[in-house]
Amino acid sequence: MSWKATELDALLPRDVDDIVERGRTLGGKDRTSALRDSIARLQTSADPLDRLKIVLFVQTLLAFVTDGKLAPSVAEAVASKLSHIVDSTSDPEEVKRSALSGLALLVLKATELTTSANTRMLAAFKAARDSRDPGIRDFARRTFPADRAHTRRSRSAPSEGSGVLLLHGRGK
Amino acid sequence: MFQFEKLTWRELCERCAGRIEKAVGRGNYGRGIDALLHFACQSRFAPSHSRVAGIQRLQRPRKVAGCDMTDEVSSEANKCDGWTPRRSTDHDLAAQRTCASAAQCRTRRVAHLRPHAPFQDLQRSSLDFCLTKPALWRNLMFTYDRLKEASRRARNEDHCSSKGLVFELGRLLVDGLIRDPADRAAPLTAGLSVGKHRQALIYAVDENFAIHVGFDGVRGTSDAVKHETLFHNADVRAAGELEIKAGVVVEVGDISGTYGTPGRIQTDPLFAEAVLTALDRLGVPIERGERRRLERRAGKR
Repeated sequence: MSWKATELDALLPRDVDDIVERGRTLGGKDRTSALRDSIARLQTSADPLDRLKIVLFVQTLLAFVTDGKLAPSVAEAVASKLSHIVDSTSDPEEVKRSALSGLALLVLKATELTTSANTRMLAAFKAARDSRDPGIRDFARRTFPADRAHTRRSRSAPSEGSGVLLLHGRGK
Repeated sequence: MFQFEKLTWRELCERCAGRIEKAVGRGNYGRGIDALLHFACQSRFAPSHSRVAGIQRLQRPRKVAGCDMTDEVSSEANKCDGWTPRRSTDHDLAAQRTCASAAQCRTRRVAHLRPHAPFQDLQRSSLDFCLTKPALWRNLMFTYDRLKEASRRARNEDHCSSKGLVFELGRLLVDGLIRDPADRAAPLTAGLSVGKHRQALIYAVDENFAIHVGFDGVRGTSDAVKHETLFHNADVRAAGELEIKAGVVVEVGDISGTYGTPGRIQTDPLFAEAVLTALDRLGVPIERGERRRLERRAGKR
Protein backbone atom coordinates (compact mmCIF):
# COMPACT_ATOMS: atom_id res chain seq x y z
CA MET A 1 0.00 0.00 0.00
CA SER A 2 1.51 3.32 -1.06
CA TRP A 3 2.16 6.20 1.33
CA LYS A 4 -0.13 9.24 1.43
CA ALA A 5 0.70 12.50 3.10
CA THR A 6 -2.37 12.29 5.30
CA GLU A 7 -1.54 8.81 6.53
CA LEU A 8 0.59 10.04 9.40
CA ASP A 9 -2.45 11.70 10.92
CA ALA A 10 -4.26 8.40 10.82
CA LEU A 11 -1.29 6.52 12.27
CA LEU A 12 -0.56 8.72 15.26
CA PRO A 13 -3.63 7.81 17.32
CA ARG A 14 -2.77 4.15 16.88
CA ASP A 15 -0.36 2.07 18.90
CA VAL A 16 3.42 2.29 18.52
CA ASP A 17 3.49 -1.28 17.20
CA ASP A 18 1.17 -0.34 14.34
CA ILE A 19 3.39 2.59 13.44
CA VAL A 20 6.51 0.45 13.47
CA GLU A 21 4.74 -2.21 11.43
CA ARG A 22 3.73 0.38 8.86
CA GLY A 23 7.27 1.69 8.72
CA ARG A 24 8.72 -1.69 7.86
CA THR A 25 6.32 -2.30 5.01
CA LEU A 26 7.22 0.89 3.13
CA GLY A 27 9.90 0.93 0.49
CA GLY A 28 11.47 3.07 -2.21
CA LYS A 29 9.80 6.40 -2.86
CA ASP A 30 7.09 5.73 -0.32
CA ARG A 31 9.70 5.42 2.37
CA THR A 32 11.35 8.64 1.28
CA SER A 33 8.01 10.46 1.27
CA ALA A 34 7.17 9.08 4.69
CA LEU A 35 10.51 10.30 6.03
CA ARG A 36 9.91 13.78 4.64
CA ASP A 37 6.37 13.93 6.03
CA SER A 38 7.50 12.70 9.43
CA ILE A 39 10.25 15.28 9.70
CA ALA A 40 7.84 18.00 8.67
CA ARG A 41 5.36 16.81 11.26
CA LEU A 42 7.99 16.94 13.98
CA GLN A 43 8.28 20.68 13.37
CA THR A 44 4.69 21.23 14.40
CA SER A 45 3.93 18.45 16.86
CA ALA A 46 4.39 19.27 20.52
CA ASP A 47 2.78 16.29 22.23
CA PRO A 48 5.55 14.06 23.68
CA LEU A 49 3.77 10.82 22.79
CA ASP A 50 3.18 11.93 19.22
CA ARG A 51 6.79 13.00 18.93
CA LEU A 52 7.93 9.66 20.30
CA LYS A 53 5.80 7.83 17.76
CA ILE A 54 7.06 9.94 14.88
CA VAL A 55 10.70 9.55 15.85
CA LEU A 56 10.24 5.81 16.24
CA PHE A 57 8.60 5.75 12.83
CA VAL A 58 11.62 7.57 11.39
CA GLN A 59 13.94 5.15 13.19
CA THR A 60 12.08 2.19 11.68
CA LEU A 61 12.10 3.69 8.19
CA LEU A 62 15.84 4.29 8.42
CA ALA A 63 16.46 0.75 9.64
CA PHE A 64 15.15 -0.61 6.36
CA VAL A 65 17.04 1.73 4.04
CA THR A 66 19.92 0.07 2.22
CA ASP A 67 23.26 1.24 3.62
CA GLY A 68 24.62 4.31 1.87
CA LYS A 69 21.50 4.81 -0.23
CA LEU A 70 19.55 7.50 1.57
CA ALA A 71 19.11 10.57 -0.63
CA PRO A 72 21.23 13.54 0.51
CA SER A 73 18.33 15.97 0.78
CA VAL A 74 16.34 13.62 3.02
CA ALA A 75 19.42 12.75 5.05
CA GLU A 76 20.07 16.44 5.59
CA ALA A 77 16.58 17.08 6.91
CA VAL A 78 16.57 13.99 9.11
CA ALA A 79 20.03 14.73 10.50
CA SER A 80 19.06 18.26 11.34
CA LYS A 81 15.82 17.37 13.09
CA LEU A 82 17.08 14.35 15.02
CA SER A 83 20.19 16.23 16.13
CA HIS A 84 17.98 19.00 17.41
CA ILE A 85 15.94 16.52 19.43
CA VAL A 86 18.98 14.81 20.96
CA ASP A 87 20.36 18.22 21.88
CA SER A 88 17.10 19.66 23.19
CA THR A 89 16.11 20.18 26.78
CA SER A 90 12.38 19.96 26.17
CA ASP A 91 12.02 16.47 24.70
CA PRO A 92 11.72 13.58 27.15
CA GLU A 93 14.50 10.99 27.34
CA GLU A 94 12.40 8.39 25.56
CA VAL A 95 12.21 10.61 22.49
CA LYS A 96 15.91 11.42 22.69
CA ARG A 97 16.85 7.74 22.88
CA SER A 98 14.94 7.00 19.72
CA ALA A 99 16.34 10.07 17.99
CA LEU A 100 19.88 8.99 18.83
CA SER A 101 19.18 5.53 17.45
CA GLY A 102 17.92 7.23 14.30
CA LEU A 103 21.07 9.33 14.04
CA ALA A 104 23.27 6.27 14.40
CA LEU A 105 21.32 4.63 11.59
CA LEU A 106 21.60 7.74 9.50
CA VAL A 107 25.37 7.49 9.63
CA LEU A 108 25.12 4.12 7.94
CA LYS A 109 22.39 5.02 5.49
CA ALA A 110 23.25 8.48 4.20
CA THR A 111 24.93 8.89 0.84
CA GLU A 112 26.38 12.20 1.91
CA LEU A 113 25.79 15.01 4.34
CA THR A 114 26.47 18.71 4.18
CA THR A 115 29.01 20.27 6.48
CA SER A 116 26.33 21.94 8.56
CA ALA A 117 24.43 18.69 9.07
CA ASN A 118 27.70 17.00 9.89
CA THR A 119 28.47 19.64 12.50
CA ARG A 120 25.02 19.39 14.04
CA MET A 121 25.27 15.62 14.30
CA LEU A 122 28.67 15.76 15.95
CA ALA A 123 27.30 18.28 18.44
CA ALA A 124 24.36 15.95 19.11
CA PHE A 125 26.67 13.02 19.72
CA LYS A 126 28.73 15.10 22.08
CA ALA A 127 25.60 16.08 23.99
CA ALA A 128 24.52 12.44 24.05
CA ARG A 129 27.87 11.31 25.46
CA ASP A 130 27.37 13.75 28.32
CA SER A 131 23.72 12.89 28.86
CA ARG A 132 22.47 12.01 32.31
CA ASP A 133 20.40 9.19 30.84
CA PRO A 134 22.62 6.06 30.97
CA GLY A 135 20.96 4.50 27.93
CA ILE A 136 21.71 7.54 25.79
CA ARG A 137 25.13 8.21 27.27
CA ASP A 138 26.49 4.68 26.98
CA PHE A 139 25.13 4.07 23.52
CA ALA A 140 26.72 7.31 22.32
CA ARG A 141 30.02 6.51 24.01
CA ARG A 142 30.09 3.01 22.55
CA THR A 143 29.07 4.03 19.07
CA PHE A 144 30.68 7.44 18.77
CA PRO A 145 33.54 7.69 21.26
CA ALA A 146 34.96 11.17 21.34
CA ASP A 147 38.56 10.22 20.72
CA ARG A 148 38.23 7.78 17.84
CA ALA A 149 34.80 8.18 16.32
CA HIS A 150 35.80 8.44 12.71
CA THR A 151 38.54 5.86 12.74
CA ARG A 152 36.45 3.30 14.56
CA ARG A 153 33.40 3.64 12.36
CA SER A 154 35.31 3.81 9.12
CA ARG A 155 36.44 0.23 9.63
CA SER A 156 32.91 -0.88 8.77
CA ALA A 157 31.97 -2.47 5.49
CA PRO A 158 32.50 -0.19 2.47
CA SER A 159 28.82 0.48 2.08
CA GLU A 160 28.61 1.44 5.74
CA GLY A 161 31.76 3.47 5.61
CA SER A 162 30.67 5.80 2.87
CA GLY A 163 28.21 7.69 5.03
CA VAL A 164 30.40 7.51 8.07
CA LEU A 165 33.38 9.02 6.38
CA LEU A 166 31.31 11.91 5.24
CA LEU A 167 29.90 12.41 8.68
CA HIS A 168 33.28 12.53 10.34
CA GLY A 169 35.12 14.34 7.66
CA ARG A 170 35.88 13.17 4.15
CA GLY A 171 39.14 11.29 3.81
CA LYS A 172 39.74 10.89 7.52
CA MET B 1 40.54 -20.10 48.03
CA PHE B 2 40.56 -18.44 44.65
CA GLN B 3 42.97 -15.81 43.50
CA PHE B 4 40.39 -13.44 42.17
CA GLU B 5 42.74 -10.97 40.63
CA LYS B 6 44.19 -13.61 38.32
CA LEU B 7 40.88 -14.95 37.04
CA THR B 8 38.51 -13.66 34.43
CA TRP B 9 34.89 -13.43 35.46
CA ARG B 10 34.16 -16.54 33.50
CA GLU B 11 36.92 -18.58 35.10
CA LEU B 12 35.84 -17.46 38.51
CA CYS B 13 32.24 -18.37 37.87
CA GLU B 14 33.07 -21.69 36.30
CA ARG B 15 35.19 -22.71 39.25
CA CYS B 16 32.55 -21.72 41.76
CA ALA B 17 29.75 -23.38 39.86
CA GLY B 18 31.88 -26.46 39.29
CA ARG B 19 32.65 -26.85 42.99
CA ILE B 20 29.03 -26.48 43.91
CA GLU B 21 27.94 -29.06 41.38
CA LYS B 22 30.60 -31.53 42.44
CA ALA B 23 29.62 -31.26 46.05
CA VAL B 24 25.96 -31.62 45.29
CA GLY B 25 26.61 -34.50 42.90
CA ARG B 26 28.34 -36.40 45.69
CA GLY B 27 25.50 -35.72 48.05
CA ASN B 28 27.60 -33.38 50.16
CA TYR B 29 25.09 -30.62 50.47
CA GLY B 30 26.81 -28.95 53.37
CA ARG B 31 29.88 -28.36 51.27
CA GLY B 32 27.72 -27.30 48.37
CA ILE B 33 26.06 -24.70 50.53
CA ASP B 34 29.41 -23.51 51.79
CA ALA B 35 30.62 -23.10 48.24
CA LEU B 36 27.43 -21.33 47.32
CA LEU B 37 27.72 -18.94 50.23
CA HIS B 38 31.27 -18.22 49.31
CA PHE B 39 30.18 -17.64 45.76
CA ALA B 40 27.27 -15.42 46.70
CA CYS B 41 29.25 -13.43 49.23
CA GLN B 42 31.78 -12.58 46.57
CA SER B 43 28.98 -10.88 44.73
CA ARG B 44 31.01 -7.75 44.26
CA PHE B 45 33.39 -9.79 42.15
CA ALA B 46 30.89 -11.38 39.81
CA PRO B 47 27.99 -10.27 37.63
CA SER B 48 24.59 -11.27 38.89
CA HIS B 49 23.82 -13.76 36.16
CA SER B 50 26.84 -15.80 37.15
CA ARG B 51 25.61 -16.07 40.69
CA VAL B 52 22.31 -17.15 39.30
CA ALA B 53 23.92 -20.01 37.42
CA GLY B 54 25.68 -21.21 40.54
CA ILE B 55 22.61 -21.18 42.67
CA GLN B 56 20.54 -22.87 40.05
CA ARG B 57 22.87 -25.82 40.20
CA LEU B 58 21.71 -26.37 43.72
CA GLN B 59 18.11 -25.95 42.74
CA ARG B 60 18.17 -29.04 40.55
CA PRO B 61 18.18 -31.74 43.21
CA ARG B 62 14.85 -30.69 44.58
CA LYS B 63 14.35 -33.30 47.21
CA VAL B 64 16.92 -35.66 48.59
CA ALA B 65 16.21 -37.88 51.57
CA GLY B 66 13.19 -35.81 52.42
CA CYS B 67 15.15 -32.60 52.57
CA ASP B 68 14.24 -29.85 50.15
CA MET B 69 17.61 -28.39 49.34
CA THR B 70 16.24 -25.55 47.33
CA ASP B 71 14.55 -23.97 50.29
CA GLU B 72 17.58 -24.38 52.48
CA VAL B 73 19.91 -22.95 49.92
CA SER B 74 17.57 -20.11 49.13
CA SER B 75 17.25 -19.24 52.74
CA GLU B 76 21.04 -19.25 53.24
CA ALA B 77 21.60 -17.22 50.12
CA ASN B 78 19.07 -14.68 51.29
CA LYS B 79 20.95 -14.24 54.50
CA CYS B 80 24.12 -13.78 52.55
CA ASP B 81 23.31 -11.08 50.10
CA GLY B 82 19.63 -10.36 50.22
CA TRP B 83 19.06 -11.99 46.89
CA THR B 84 15.98 -14.11 46.39
CA PRO B 85 16.32 -17.09 44.12
CA ARG B 86 13.08 -18.35 42.81
CA ARG B 87 12.09 -21.95 42.55
CA SER B 88 11.82 -22.85 38.89
CA THR B 89 8.76 -24.84 38.02
CA ASP B 90 6.60 -25.24 35.01
CA HIS B 91 4.08 -23.02 36.68
CA ASP B 92 6.39 -20.06 37.01
CA LEU B 93 5.07 -18.11 34.09
CA ALA B 94 1.48 -18.65 35.09
CA ALA B 95 2.29 -17.51 38.60
CA GLN B 96 4.02 -14.39 37.39
CA ARG B 97 1.09 -13.41 35.27
CA THR B 98 -0.90 -12.58 38.32
CA CYS B 99 0.94 -9.27 38.44
CA ALA B 100 -1.55 -6.51 38.37
CA SER B 101 0.56 -3.49 37.57
CA ALA B 102 3.75 -2.50 35.87
CA ALA B 103 5.25 -1.46 39.16
CA GLN B 104 4.64 -4.92 40.54
CA CYS B 105 6.15 -6.44 37.45
CA ARG B 106 9.27 -4.41 37.81
CA THR B 107 9.59 -5.31 41.45
CA ARG B 108 9.02 -8.95 40.84
CA ARG B 109 11.44 -9.31 38.02
CA VAL B 110 14.25 -9.41 40.51
CA ALA B 111 12.92 -12.76 41.59
CA HIS B 112 12.17 -14.05 38.11
CA LEU B 113 15.15 -16.30 37.93
CA ARG B 114 14.96 -19.38 35.81
CA PRO B 115 17.14 -22.33 35.05
CA HIS B 116 19.65 -21.82 32.29
CA ALA B 117 21.60 -24.37 30.37
CA PRO B 118 24.40 -26.02 32.33
CA PHE B 119 27.10 -23.47 32.90
CA GLN B 120 29.82 -25.43 31.17
CA ASP B 121 27.71 -25.38 28.04
CA LEU B 122 28.08 -21.64 27.73
CA GLN B 123 30.12 -20.82 24.71
CA ARG B 124 33.32 -19.06 25.59
CA SER B 125 33.25 -16.83 22.55
CA SER B 126 30.04 -15.16 23.56
CA LEU B 127 30.46 -15.02 27.27
CA ASP B 128 34.02 -13.86 27.52
CA PHE B 129 32.96 -10.49 26.31
CA CYS B 130 30.16 -9.92 28.75
CA LEU B 131 31.85 -11.48 31.73
CA THR B 132 35.04 -9.53 31.33
CA LYS B 133 33.30 -6.24 30.61
CA PRO B 134 30.42 -6.08 33.08
CA ALA B 135 30.49 -2.30 33.14
CA LEU B 136 29.80 -2.16 29.43
CA TRP B 137 26.82 -4.44 29.76
CA ARG B 138 25.26 -2.70 32.68
CA ASN B 139 23.50 -0.05 30.68
CA LEU B 140 22.64 -2.02 27.59
CA MET B 141 19.04 -2.27 28.62
CA PHE B 142 16.01 -1.29 26.65
CA THR B 143 13.20 0.13 28.67
CA TYR B 144 9.51 -0.09 28.08
CA ASP B 145 8.99 3.67 27.93
CA ARG B 146 6.64 5.24 30.43
CA LEU B 147 5.00 7.21 27.66
CA LYS B 148 4.08 4.10 25.71
CA GLU B 149 3.07 2.20 28.79
CA ALA B 150 0.82 4.97 30.05
CA SER B 151 -0.79 5.35 26.66
CA ARG B 152 -1.48 1.63 26.43
CA ARG B 153 -2.78 1.41 29.95
CA ALA B 154 -5.19 4.23 29.23
CA ARG B 155 -6.59 2.20 26.35
CA ASN B 156 -6.40 -1.08 28.23
CA GLU B 157 -3.94 -2.38 25.65
CA ASP B 158 -0.96 -3.09 27.85
CA HIS B 159 -0.14 -6.79 27.87
CA CYS B 160 2.19 -6.99 30.81
CA SER B 161 -0.08 -9.40 32.62
CA SER B 162 -1.38 -11.22 29.58
CA LYS B 163 -2.17 -14.88 30.15
CA GLY B 164 -0.94 -15.84 26.70
CA LEU B 165 1.68 -18.54 26.39
CA VAL B 166 5.30 -17.50 26.88
CA PHE B 167 8.09 -20.03 26.53
CA GLU B 168 11.64 -20.19 27.70
CA LEU B 169 13.44 -20.96 24.48
CA GLY B 170 15.60 -23.56 26.19
CA ARG B 171 12.58 -25.60 27.06
CA LEU B 172 11.61 -25.89 23.43
CA LEU B 173 14.96 -27.45 22.56
CA VAL B 174 14.94 -31.19 22.04
CA ASP B 175 17.81 -33.01 20.36
CA GLY B 176 19.34 -29.75 19.27
CA LEU B 177 16.29 -28.41 17.47
CA ILE B 178 13.62 -25.94 18.50
CA ARG B 179 10.33 -27.80 18.75
CA ASP B 180 6.81 -26.64 18.13
CA PRO B 181 5.23 -26.01 21.54
CA ALA B 182 1.98 -27.48 20.26
CA ASP B 183 3.69 -30.63 19.01
CA ARG B 184 7.01 -31.34 20.64
CA ALA B 185 7.75 -34.04 18.09
CA ALA B 186 7.82 -31.53 15.23
CA PRO B 187 10.58 -28.97 14.62
CA LEU B 188 9.24 -25.44 14.80
CA THR B 189 8.83 -23.23 11.76
CA ALA B 190 7.82 -19.65 12.51
CA GLY B 191 8.38 -16.55 10.48
CA LEU B 192 8.56 -12.82 10.45
CA SER B 193 5.35 -10.87 10.49
CA VAL B 194 5.66 -8.83 7.31
CA GLY B 195 2.72 -9.71 5.10
CA LYS B 196 1.15 -11.68 7.93
CA HIS B 197 1.61 -14.91 6.00
CA ARG B 198 3.06 -16.59 9.03
CA GLN B 199 2.74 -15.92 12.68
CA ALA B 200 5.65 -13.99 14.08
CA LEU B 201 7.69 -15.42 16.92
CA ILE B 202 8.79 -12.58 19.14
CA TYR B 203 11.67 -12.79 21.58
CA ALA B 204 13.32 -10.79 24.33
CA VAL B 205 16.59 -11.26 26.21
CA ASP B 206 16.60 -10.25 29.85
CA GLU B 207 19.42 -8.97 32.02
CA ASN B 208 20.52 -12.52 32.84
CA PHE B 209 20.61 -13.46 29.16
CA ALA B 210 17.54 -15.63 29.50
CA ILE B 211 15.51 -15.62 26.32
CA HIS B 212 11.73 -15.86 26.21
CA VAL B 213 9.65 -16.29 23.09
CA GLY B 214 5.97 -16.15 22.24
CA PHE B 215 3.72 -15.98 19.23
CA ASP B 216 2.90 -12.38 18.47
CA GLY B 217 -0.71 -11.56 19.20
CA VAL B 218 -3.06 -8.75 18.24
CA ARG B 219 -2.78 -5.88 20.67
CA GLY B 220 -5.90 -5.31 22.67
CA THR B 221 -7.21 -8.83 22.35
CA SER B 222 -7.52 -11.12 25.32
CA ASP B 223 -4.37 -13.06 26.24
CA ALA B 224 -2.36 -11.66 23.35
CA VAL B 225 1.40 -11.98 23.80
CA LYS B 226 3.40 -8.85 23.02
CA HIS B 227 6.99 -7.90 23.78
CA GLU B 228 6.13 -6.48 27.18
CA THR B 229 4.55 -9.83 28.09
CA LEU B 230 7.76 -11.80 27.64
CA PHE B 231 9.40 -10.43 30.77
CA HIS B 232 6.45 -8.58 32.21
CA ASN B 233 7.60 -5.05 31.48
CA ALA B 234 11.13 -5.63 32.68
CA ASP B 235 14.05 -3.96 30.92
CA VAL B 236 15.68 -6.18 28.30
CA ARG B 237 19.01 -6.44 26.51
CA ALA B 238 17.48 -7.21 23.13
CA ALA B 239 14.07 -7.75 21.59
CA GLY B 240 12.65 -8.45 18.18
CA GLU B 241 11.45 -11.35 16.08
CA LEU B 242 12.92 -14.72 15.28
CA GLU B 243 12.54 -16.56 12.03
CA ILE B 244 12.87 -20.27 12.57
CA LYS B 245 12.87 -22.92 9.90
CA ALA B 246 12.71 -26.61 10.76
CA GLY B 247 13.89 -25.93 14.29
CA VAL B 248 16.86 -23.76 13.30
CA VAL B 249 17.11 -19.98 13.75
CA VAL B 250 17.56 -18.49 10.30
CA GLU B 251 17.06 -14.82 11.07
CA VAL B 252 17.16 -12.63 14.15
CA GLY B 253 15.27 -9.36 13.86
CA ASP B 254 15.47 -6.24 15.98
CA ILE B 255 12.00 -4.78 15.53
CA SER B 256 10.12 -4.06 18.72
CA GLY B 257 7.90 -1.03 19.08
CA THR B 258 7.62 -1.58 22.81
CA TYR B 259 11.36 -1.42 23.43
CA GLY B 260 12.21 0.95 20.55
CA THR B 261 14.83 -1.34 19.06
CA PRO B 262 14.42 -0.99 15.27
CA GLY B 263 17.85 -0.88 13.64
CA ARG B 264 19.83 -1.49 16.81
CA ILE B 265 21.31 -4.71 15.53
CA GLN B 266 23.00 -2.60 12.85
CA THR B 267 24.27 0.14 15.10
CA ASP B 268 24.98 -1.42 18.49
CA PRO B 269 27.40 -4.36 18.72
CA LEU B 270 26.17 -5.17 22.20
CA PHE B 271 22.68 -5.88 20.89
CA ALA B 272 23.92 -8.63 18.57
CA GLU B 273 26.26 -9.83 21.29
CA ALA B 274 23.38 -10.15 23.74
CA VAL B 275 21.35 -12.22 21.31
CA LEU B 276 24.31 -14.47 20.50
CA THR B 277 25.07 -14.95 24.15
CA ALA B 278 21.48 -15.84 24.97
CA LEU B 279 21.20 -18.28 22.08
CA ASP B 280 24.61 -19.85 22.56
CA ARG B 281 24.24 -20.49 26.23
CA LEU B 282 21.22 -22.63 25.42
CA GLY B 283 22.84 -24.29 22.43
CA VAL B 284 20.16 -22.99 20.08
CA PRO B 285 21.00 -23.91 16.47
CA ILE B 286 21.65 -20.88 14.28
CA GLU B 287 21.97 -21.07 10.53
CA ARG B 288 25.59 -20.48 9.53
CA GLY B 289 25.01 -17.34 7.48
CA GLU B 290 22.94 -15.77 10.21
CA ARG B 291 25.53 -16.60 12.83
CA ARG B 292 28.16 -14.90 10.70
CA ARG B 293 25.94 -11.85 10.33
CA LEU B 294 25.39 -11.66 14.07
CA GLU B 295 29.06 -12.12 14.80
CA ARG B 296 29.92 -9.42 12.30
CA ARG B 297 27.39 -7.10 13.90
CA ALA B 298 28.82 -7.95 17.30
CA GLY B 299 32.25 -6.92 16.06
CA LYS B 300 33.73 -10.40 16.15
CA ARG B 301 34.49 -10.64 12.46
